[in-house]
Amino acid sequence: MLLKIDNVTKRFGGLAAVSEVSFELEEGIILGLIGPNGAGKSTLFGCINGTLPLTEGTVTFDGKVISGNKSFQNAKLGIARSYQIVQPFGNMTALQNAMVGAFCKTNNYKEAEQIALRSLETVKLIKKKDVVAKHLNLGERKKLEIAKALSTQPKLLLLDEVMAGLNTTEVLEMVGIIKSLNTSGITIIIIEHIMEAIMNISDRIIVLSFGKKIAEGSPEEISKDPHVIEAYFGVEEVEEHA
Amino acid sequence: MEQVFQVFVSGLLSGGIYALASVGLALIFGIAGLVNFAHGEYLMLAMYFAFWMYGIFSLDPYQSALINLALMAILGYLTYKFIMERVLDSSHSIQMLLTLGLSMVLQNLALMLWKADYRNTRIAMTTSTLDLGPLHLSTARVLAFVVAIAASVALYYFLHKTYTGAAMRAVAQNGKAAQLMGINLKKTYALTFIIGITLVGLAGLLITPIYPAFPTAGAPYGILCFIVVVIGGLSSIPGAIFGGLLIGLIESFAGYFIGPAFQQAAYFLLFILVLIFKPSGLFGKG
Amino acid sequence: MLKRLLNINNSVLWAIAVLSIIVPFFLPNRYFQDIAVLTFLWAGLSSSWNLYSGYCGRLSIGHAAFLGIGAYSSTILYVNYGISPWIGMIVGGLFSALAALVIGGTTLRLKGTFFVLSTVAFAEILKTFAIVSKDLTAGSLGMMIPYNPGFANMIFQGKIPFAIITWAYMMLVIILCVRLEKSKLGYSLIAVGENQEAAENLGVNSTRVMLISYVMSAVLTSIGGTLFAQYIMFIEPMSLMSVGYSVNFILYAIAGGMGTAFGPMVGAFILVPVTNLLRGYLSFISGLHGFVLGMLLIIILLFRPDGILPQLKGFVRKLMNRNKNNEEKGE
Repeated sequence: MLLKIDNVTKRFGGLAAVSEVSFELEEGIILGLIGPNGAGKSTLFGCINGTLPLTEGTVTFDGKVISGNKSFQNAKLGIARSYQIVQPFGNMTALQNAMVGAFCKTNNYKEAEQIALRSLETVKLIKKKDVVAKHLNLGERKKLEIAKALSTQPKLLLLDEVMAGLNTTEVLEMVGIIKSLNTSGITIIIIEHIMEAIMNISDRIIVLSFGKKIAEGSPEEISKDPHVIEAYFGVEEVEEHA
Repeated sequence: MEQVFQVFVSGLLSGGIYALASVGLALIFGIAGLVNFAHGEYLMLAMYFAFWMYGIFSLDPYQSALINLALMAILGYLTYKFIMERVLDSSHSIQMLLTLGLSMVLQNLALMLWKADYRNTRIAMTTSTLDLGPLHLSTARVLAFVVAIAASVALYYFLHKTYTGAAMRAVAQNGKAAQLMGINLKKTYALTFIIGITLVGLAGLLITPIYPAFPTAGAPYGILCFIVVVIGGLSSIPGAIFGGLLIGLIESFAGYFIGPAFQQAAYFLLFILVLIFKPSGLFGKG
Repeated sequence: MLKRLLNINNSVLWAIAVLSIIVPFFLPNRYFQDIAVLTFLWAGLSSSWNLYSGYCGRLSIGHAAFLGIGAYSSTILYVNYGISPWIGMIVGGLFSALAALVIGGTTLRLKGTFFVLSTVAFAEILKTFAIVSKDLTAGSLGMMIPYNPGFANMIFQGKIPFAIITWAYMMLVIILCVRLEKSKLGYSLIAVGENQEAAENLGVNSTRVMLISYVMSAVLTSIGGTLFAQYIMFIEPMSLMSVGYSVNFILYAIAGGMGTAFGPMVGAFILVPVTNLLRGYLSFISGLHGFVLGMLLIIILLFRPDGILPQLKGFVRKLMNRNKNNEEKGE
């Protein structure tokens, strides 16, 4: 198992954003993480990569317990994360942005440049490599967000809504990029609201609702699961009854 | 024991002035979120103004207070209009450097206009004392303390009991939301700045009979006010008042027990300790 | 193409930096040579400040503390114990590194205004120590360095040797900054300044990165402090370790361009001579020099917040393009 989440809970004040979530992740797959807004998906990412300290539970990565680690330590171990709200280093060029990530695994400038160039190539952003990040458009920033993470040469990549706000062509391109990352051997957990896309690329899906895991299974199983339907459409049903 | 009590009261009296100067900054920095490193320079300008009014027209600082405060309000407005309004959305670094530049300009302007000489304003109250039991207190200092505390408390009630005050606090909490509720952001910021500067000006004119005016007379107050505001929990007016009194006491006791050179170092040390162990301030929430 | 042009621009700046050493040899008298020395010195000091605050975007306005540590370490060792200032310079550097570790360890995690204020607080506390440790520092009276020329004493007869030393100092800091810009440390530092959390997610240990560059910046400033003391031959805490002095560091860097290797040099090369000439020729108006500097700071921040270096680069780029166009037309 590449990643093992055991009984992970994260509370903010009295509120549990993630509650007793457990699952395992074998190497090489794409895991889709879905759920209504506020279900705790991004919080769970934070718990995995170390941005947020856990309240309870353990995270094991590659056989090592990593809960308690800082995010930079986990990056070195091979966990990279992209943010839903993109976080580019605005005054650096795309290449320099990616190089910050590349320096995670090397101290050599030329080597870092090569790694970063390859990442930009993979996400199809190579033409914009010398553009200062704040001048990129949203689609390009989303790609840059992936390129930065990719440059750390991760084993596990956490992608948080990398398709939100993109047009259909861009979504298709992004799906292709994610598939190619997976083919190159990177295990991926992806949060996404665009159902078609996530059903299409995920090997397995986990559904979160109010911080709890309510379902896990193949895309087909999930799309038929009554709990999931209730979690997503429950409100409307209630209205119909009323 | 009597001496210790005298040290205590003396510290408290200075603390009142620090409190008044600091509530002005609590308004500007803590509530409006604008960094003003030239805060102390307005205190210096008010001192000079009071000095000249006495020298030229024989009006003592209390008699010239209204004109002085009006002038400070105008200066506050001009500073807001020509400098702060342009950088409302800029980072604190930019605001900081900008007002640092402003403080250089004002200090050196004073130096160019009035030389580096110490200008003492000796009115009758400078030398008269109030005798309260065993204590001999300078009348001017007691008056300064009373007015300072009264003004600080008045500001608190203004913020909490009037519509304009509520608007200021709303802008502080969430500018965008406040704007949607029909509050004019820029007007509110301007007013915040004007009141803040007027208050520090009031502190300046109150100490004119006690301390000399000179170009860098306000500089120590600038930093001190920031320290008080941070210790007081940023946006809390009572916090700034207590913080000011506390700094006055620390300064006084450090000066008496350790040595005059340690007066400032003592509160700088306290400040660092607060930043490390209780960054929300001694009187802040959480 | 853009990259190549930027490199050309940098080589222009390199040329200015290297060739500037010629200038003092052609200056007519000691007065102008003095300005040249101060220009190199301030260019070096401002670049040292830039190494942390410029790249990381977190302003220290307490760097005069390190200037003071450098100046006092070498002066105390030289005046009281006869130890060469060259050694004192190293000792001062070590003390500054230690101070920076303590100060940085406690304050680097603070953000924005809080960090700035904490740097002021530490500088003020150190200043108090310099004032009260009368046996060591002679307190607020200040220390005179006896005039006794010799290389080992770092005291020279003319201004030229000091021009060379301060120029070398400036070059050292600039070279370090240029190297920083092409290194893991530099990339990490800039990234932390832009977005600390995002940088950490990419494997940057932000605390370590900030601490290392803060210590480097402090040590380099301290070296400048020793040079400063040996050149002026008199130090006293009230002005040397004041916020006012710290502001100079920042001003030149901002004028030229913060977070660029040559920015502080460009700023110092323009502002130090101008303000010193102002002070020299209009000395009857005391305060004019500070007034002008303050006004410049305001004007630059309101209208050219990135400093004048980008402007200069743009100008050079235009020139280059015009030359290129002419060449192409000629062909």
